[in-house]
Parts: sequence; structure tokens; C-alpha cells
Amino acid sequence: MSTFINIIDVTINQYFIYRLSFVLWRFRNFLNLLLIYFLWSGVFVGKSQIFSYTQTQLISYILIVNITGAVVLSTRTHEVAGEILSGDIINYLLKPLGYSTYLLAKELADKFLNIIFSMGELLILLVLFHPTLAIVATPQTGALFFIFLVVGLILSFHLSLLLSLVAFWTPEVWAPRFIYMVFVTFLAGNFFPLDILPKQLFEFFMFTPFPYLIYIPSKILIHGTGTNVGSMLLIALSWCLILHFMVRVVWNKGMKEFSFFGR
Amino acid sequence: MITVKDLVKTYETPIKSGSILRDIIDRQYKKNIALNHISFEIDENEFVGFIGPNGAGKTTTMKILSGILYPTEGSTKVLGYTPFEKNNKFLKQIAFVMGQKNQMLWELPAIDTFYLNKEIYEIGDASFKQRLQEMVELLACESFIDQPVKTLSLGQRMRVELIASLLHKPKILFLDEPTIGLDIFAQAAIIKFLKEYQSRYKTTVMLTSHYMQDVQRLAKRIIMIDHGTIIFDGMLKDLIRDYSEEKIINIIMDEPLEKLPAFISHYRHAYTFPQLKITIQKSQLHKILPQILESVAYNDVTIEDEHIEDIIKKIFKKKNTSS
Amino acid sequence: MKKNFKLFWLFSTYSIKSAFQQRLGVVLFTLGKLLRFVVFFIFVYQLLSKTRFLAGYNINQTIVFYLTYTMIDNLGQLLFREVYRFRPLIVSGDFSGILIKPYHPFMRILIGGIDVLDVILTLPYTILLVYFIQKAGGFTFLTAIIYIGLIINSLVLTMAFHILVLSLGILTTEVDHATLIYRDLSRMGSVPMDIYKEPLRTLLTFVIPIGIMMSIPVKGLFGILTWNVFLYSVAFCIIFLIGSLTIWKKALMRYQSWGG
Repeated sequence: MSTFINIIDVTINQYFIYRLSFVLWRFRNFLNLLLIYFLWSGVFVGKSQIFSYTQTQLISYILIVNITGAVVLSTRTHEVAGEILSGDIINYLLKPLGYSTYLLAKELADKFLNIIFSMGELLILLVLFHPTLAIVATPQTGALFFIFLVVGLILSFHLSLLLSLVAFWTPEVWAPRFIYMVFVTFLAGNFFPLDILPKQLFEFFMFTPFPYLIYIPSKILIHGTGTNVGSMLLIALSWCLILHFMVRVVWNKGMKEFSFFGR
Repeated sequence: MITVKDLVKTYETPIKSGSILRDIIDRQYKKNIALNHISFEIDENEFVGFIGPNGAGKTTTMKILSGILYPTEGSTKVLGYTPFEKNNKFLKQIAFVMGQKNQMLWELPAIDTFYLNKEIYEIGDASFKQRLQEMVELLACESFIDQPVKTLSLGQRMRVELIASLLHKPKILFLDEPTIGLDIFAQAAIIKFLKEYQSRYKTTVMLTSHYMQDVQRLAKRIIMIDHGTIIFDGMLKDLIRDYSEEKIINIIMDEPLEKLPAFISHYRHAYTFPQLKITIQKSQLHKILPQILESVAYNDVTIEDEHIEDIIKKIFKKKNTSS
Repeated sequence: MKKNFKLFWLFSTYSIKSAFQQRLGVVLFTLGKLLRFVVFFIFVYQLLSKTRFLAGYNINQTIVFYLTYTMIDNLGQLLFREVYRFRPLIVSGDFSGILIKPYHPFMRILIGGIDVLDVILTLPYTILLVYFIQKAGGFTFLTAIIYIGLIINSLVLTMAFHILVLSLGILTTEVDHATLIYRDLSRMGSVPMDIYKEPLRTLLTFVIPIGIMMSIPVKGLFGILTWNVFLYSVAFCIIFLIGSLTIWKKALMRYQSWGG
């Protein structure tokens, strides 16, 4: 346990060395938040409701997404690709501490910092523009929000890790990740709640893992629990299992490839 | 052709204070003097060797002369131009070959860079063709100018790099460590080429090299630089005449010596049959030589100058202890 | 001049030849860009087909804003791609080899790496843009000329910004962030500036100046631009260009040519 905390400590300290990078990264995030916030505020001028959202609900959704995004999407797993390509991953594999423990500790540190910052950004926005917010704050929605948040976090971790494992086969790891990021931006609900999409499209997307990253947890806080929570949870958990299995298979295959080339 | 007067170059490196805000607003700099009031002139058709330890200011000088770096103080005129202004007419008359840097299109065959340089330097079709053929022959490159540069060996790359830099018949050629990292054969090939090239085209050349033999084989004139100041500027033979204090007598014998003559032990010597080597002060040569010839049954005797490396080492040592 | 065109052509072909050495990555990146464009396009379309108006602009006008942003952003990326590869040239010292060549270094480090796939993308963007401008209507021959003129103005501004990035590349190590922040800021111009609340709007329009770059040309097209703002945009662009060229000259004087 103490090594675990040590890694978290080291990771956070790394951020203080690269603090400028981190602050700028959050600043860019904030710019995007501003764009979405004002786009939606602009859309609501002279309207009280669009799709199934009132202005207050939609603005609340956008702001909650910023927090859920920080919890679910912030990750350091993209660094795994670099560690594979440089061969440094060997150093970790030789240590008694499991590589997954190492990864998890780094994840926690990363999420911790991102959450703090996203809260700060939210505060700035609230102070500057005074939007009215509305969430369904019952113990039930709270519990479900938390459950889906954890599920989303697991999904995001596995997806991102999977994209890094591509490095076992090709050095061109950035292009697939770029496409993934595009998917996340739009299909995970970063820009807009997914249920404003045409019905068939929306229902199709609900079978992919993307909506469960940030759209579903955030949506629960806005619209409360729907009737189909059970089936959604089932789909999301199935994806967790599938992705976990895929990571294991790809990892094992990749490690064989790795030792084969004797890098 | 090249006139340098009172040239000073100071590098400023930022000091990180630890506070980002302070680093941006009020950045502190540490000043390093790379060149400290140096002056010299170089004429047409000279081949000048620039020597000195790492960080002495050799490369900095050449980079100022070619317009890459901005001189802090002093004046430089090259071919009548101020180099830093980067007049195209000026740049068309010079070339700079850097041993450790790549100026070729990395992913593509060397021939593509040659065509690119043809356009850059506006070389006519006929003269390009003739020049390219000549250079390729001189450097024996036919077999690999069609291969992507990244697949070439270091020696091969240096050869195509030289062609690319010489296609436009520069009046002045700057060579910065052209043989660094090469094996002895590749090194010899480059040196041989440079010697032949310079005698054929009368190009003015400035060369820096870690290998004294390169400089010795190529340059007639030497400029020695240390800590940003010139400590010797003159002919290589004058350097040897003025600074060489010792001579090496090299004796080859038919039969092993029974006993080393006693007087030899007063001097530095090394004896392994059939060779006997004695290092003496220059001034004592006339005294000792007859003695040796008398006491040793020799087959052959040669008198050599001290190795150039040793002379230079001595000069640097002397300067550094006296200052 | 003729020589510069020839060099531009040669650098472009070499850059394309080199790009195709990493085919998969290049294709995937382009697909990603296309995907991002299409999804955002559908989103805006879907949204405005419900709400009809965004900050007083109808659906076609809003899409012209978005497409104009896409066009300017795309042309900037296409022309000045090489800027994003400048830092390694400084680190390795290979920039020295460029400085001794008898052409302006911008030929090589600013516009010397045309992105071939962006060139291909320009075609569908142009078709869409022309289609929606014609659908939006409300322009005259004069305002169309003003529109094109202001797009050129935006591209000059983009160029000035990239020259600034090159200068920063010589002076400091923090270049990547500058370009990324610029990209995110300019993305804020994908919608009309009018949606932003004051004082953010004035800040974005006239100071940063995303508005001048992305929004003002469209306003010119629809004839809702005052001459004051027009003149301000042009003057801003000229002053910014002169400023970044001055900084570039200063940066060259400080260039230290390390590396190797």
C-alpha cells in the first residue's frame, strides 16, 4: 500500500515539474467549455425548451460534463505507448510491483488533479456568468451517478489502454488515438446530450461504449433515473468485461511479440 | 576575401529563477564570452585550419562568417558582404558542411537534394549536369545516389553531403568537422577529395577538425584559438619552426646493440630492435648527431620533427599556465 | 519570384513524397479530421433545424460561419504545417543548414511542408461553402469581394501568428502549447462571435483576435459590417504582421545554433 501511495506522490510531483503544461492543458479545456457553454446559451435565446431540455437543464448538463469528464477521461494510459516504443516498459515489468498497480496509482493521481482543476473552472464560470443550475439530487440519483461514474471510468481506462497497446505492432499510435478523441468529443456527450440526435442514431450509439463514459452519468443527474437503467447498466458492464478481456488478450499477444523481437 | 575585426560573441543563457512569472517578465541571463576580440584576414585560395579545444570558438567563428549567428560586436566582411544580412548573392557563393548535421532530404534519395539545390542556387542545366558528373566521379558515389539518404552509411552520407554543398561552385567553403565519426578509410577518402578539390578549383577553405592529421594534410595556414582568443595565426611550417623545441632521431639497425651507449641514457629514448628512437632538444642536434653516428652501427637514420599534436598540446598548456 | 515558386513547388512535392512514407497514420488523421468536421456539421444542422436561429442568424448563415472557420483553419494548417516541425530543427541544429541557403528561410520553415491531404479536403469544403453561401443569400458582388478580401486578411493574420510561433521556437522551448492554445482559441470562432457575452465577446473579437480571423469576413459577406470594423481588421492584421516580423528578426539575432 505504501508503494502505491509513493507512486501517487511521485506522479503529483511530476505535475509540479511540468506544471506549466498541466495548467495550459486545463486552460485549453476551459476554452472548450466556454465555447460549448456560450453556444448553448446562444441557442436558447428566445426559447424555453429545446428537445427535452430547458435552458437550465442543458447548461447544468454541460457544466456537469466538465466534472464527469475530468473524473472519467483524465488518464495517463497514453504514456504506455511511449513506454512500449522506447522499451522502457521492461524496467517496470522487472520490478516486483505489478505494472497494473503502477498504472492505477498514476491514474488516481491524474484524476485527483484534474478533478480539483475542473471544480475551479466551474467556480470561475459560475462567478462570471451566474447561470442557474438544476440537478435531481435524490439519494437514488446520487447512487446511480456514482455507479455509472465508476463504470465509465473503467471503460475509459480500458479503451485508452487498448489504444496504447497498438504500439506493440506499430509506432503510429497517435492517429488512432486522435480518432478515438473525436469519437469521445461527440459520442460521449461532451458537446451535447446524445438524446438530441435522431432516435435511431441515438439507439444505435447506446450499444457502443461511448455514451457510458460521460453522457449517462451526467444525464442521470439532470433527468433523474429512467426506466431502462437496468438494461443500460447491463450493456455498460458487458462492455467492461469485453474490454477487459480484450486488454488481457492484446497485452499477452503484445508481450510475446515484444520478447520475440528482443527489444 | 574574409576580414574579421575585433569580433566578439557573447551567448546569453537564461537562468531559471524557479518562478515562472519572473522568468517571463524579468528573465535573468548568464553571459558566456565565446569570442573575445578576434581579428584576422583570409585571402583567396587559402586553406586555413582552425584548431583549438572544444568550446574554444572555432565553430562560432565560422557560423558568424556564414551569417548563421549574429556577432555581438566587431565587424566581419566576407566577399564584401556583411554575412548576417544574408544577401542571396552572398549565400550563393558560400557553402557550409557540418559533419554532424544533415542537410539532405532525409527520406529521399540524394539525387533529389541535388535537384533541389540546382533550383536553390539557380544552376543552369548544362553546368549542373557536368558538375554533378564530375563530383560523383571524384567521390565515387554512382552506386548510391539513388538510395534514400537515411539508408546510407555515415561515410557515404558525408560524400553526398559534400556534393550537395559544392554543386554551385562556392567561392568559400566552411568545413566543420567533416570527418567526425568516420572510419579511417572513409576519412582518408574525404581528405584526399578535399585536397584535390581545393587544388583544382582554388576555393578558399576554412576547416576545423579534431584530427590534427586532417589539418596537417590539408591546411597551409593555421589559426589556433583558445577561450575565444587567437593564440597563433600563421603558416603551419612556421608553427613548427617556432614552437617545435625537439627533434626525434630515428635509427634503424642491422644488428642488435650489445649495450646502449651511455650518453643516450641522458635523453628520452625508446629501443626495440631494430629501431632506436631518441628525442632531443633542437639545439643539441649538431652536438649529438655525430656521437650517435659514431657509436651505433646504423642502417638508416632519419630526423623527424616533433608530432604536430605534441607541439599544439604544448602551446595550449603554456598559454593556460601563463595566463 | 519565379525561383520562389519553383522552390515552393519542389518543397511541396518532397513533403508529399515524405508524408507517404507513413501512409496509415496520414490517412487515419485525415479521416479523424473529416469525421470531426462532419459530426459537428450534423450537430449544428440538427440543432438549428429545431431552433431556427442562433444569435439572430438563420441556419444557412450559421453554417456559413462554421464553413468559413473550417476553410480558414484548413488553409492555415495546409500552408503552415511545417511550423509544427520547426522545434526539432532548432534542437538538432539543422536550422543552421537552412540559414545558409540563398532563399528566405520562410520558404522552408513556414510554407515548406504543404499537407497533401488538407489540400484534398479543401475541395469538398469549397463546394459546401459555395453551396451554403448561395443558399444563405443576402450578399452582393461587392460584399463577396469584401468577403474574399477579408479571408485573405485572415490568412495573413494566421501567417503572422505562425511567424510568431517560429520566433518563439528560437527563443524558448514552450512552443507546442502556444500552437495548441491557438487552435483551441480559433475553434471558438467556429460559431458567430455574437453568442459570447461581453466582455468576452470584445476580447475575442478585437483583442485575441479570433473574431477578425473567423467571424468578420462572414459579416462582410452579409453586409452587416461597419467600415470602422473593416478598417480595424485590416489595420490590426498589418500591425500584427509587422510586429511578428520584427520579433522574428530579433529572434534570429539571438539564435544560438546549438545541437548536434
